[in-house]
Amino acid sequence: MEFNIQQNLADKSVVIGLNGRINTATSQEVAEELKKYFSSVETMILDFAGVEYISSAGLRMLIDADETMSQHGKLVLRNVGVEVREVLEVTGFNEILHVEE
Amino acid sequence: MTELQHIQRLPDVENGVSLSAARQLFPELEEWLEEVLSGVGMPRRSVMQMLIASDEIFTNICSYAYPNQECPGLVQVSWRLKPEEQSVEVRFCDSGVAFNPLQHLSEEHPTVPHREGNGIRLVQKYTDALDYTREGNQNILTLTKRLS
Repeated sequence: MEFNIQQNLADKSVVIGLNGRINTATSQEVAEELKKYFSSVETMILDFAGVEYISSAGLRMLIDADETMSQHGKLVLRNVGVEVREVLEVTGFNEILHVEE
Repeated sequence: MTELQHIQRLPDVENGVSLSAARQLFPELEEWLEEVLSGVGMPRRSVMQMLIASDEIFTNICSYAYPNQECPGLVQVSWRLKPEEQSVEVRFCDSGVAFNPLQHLSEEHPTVPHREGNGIRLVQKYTDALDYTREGNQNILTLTKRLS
């Protein structure tokens, strides 16, 4: 899993570009990367343009991140492709996560 | 501690591999399955859906099949083409405790998002048929996906 980070200290935001597959083997790696920014940003944007697919292990990771960020800010999913959007819809997670249109 | 067994061909099962039921080994299974499914002409989108379903099944086995074991047991995965149905069968076999994941489908409420239980829902959504059998001391779960 590769990450592209763009942190903006002025508005306390970070855009984390994810590249690869978020599955049972990589979701923990993503979680560890997100954890680095939880306390220092108010807006965390996950750019899914480079994500091929996400499994339920990845969904649990997103819910954990959303719960953490919602205590003092927000988590946003950006550039969500058809395959990932379908997984979110099947599981109903599109209704509780902030997914940009 | 015995080392994990990385993916290797099964000598006695055509089109089959075996590996330890350890999550960190999933990329090895994923790579093999992707090559197999792409090789028989399955569309890219369907291949991705089968990889998601296989991730869920493999993770389930890693989590529940071999409790209290210092080193996890093995998972055997095999496939076969069914030309008459234009579909592919992928079979997961483990020797762990009896567990039928399909029973949990009927217990879930599909409209309520929940942290747990999403995996089997995805498996159901992304396959055309699912079958579970317990043969001797083995759990056998078969996923079927049409080629088109």
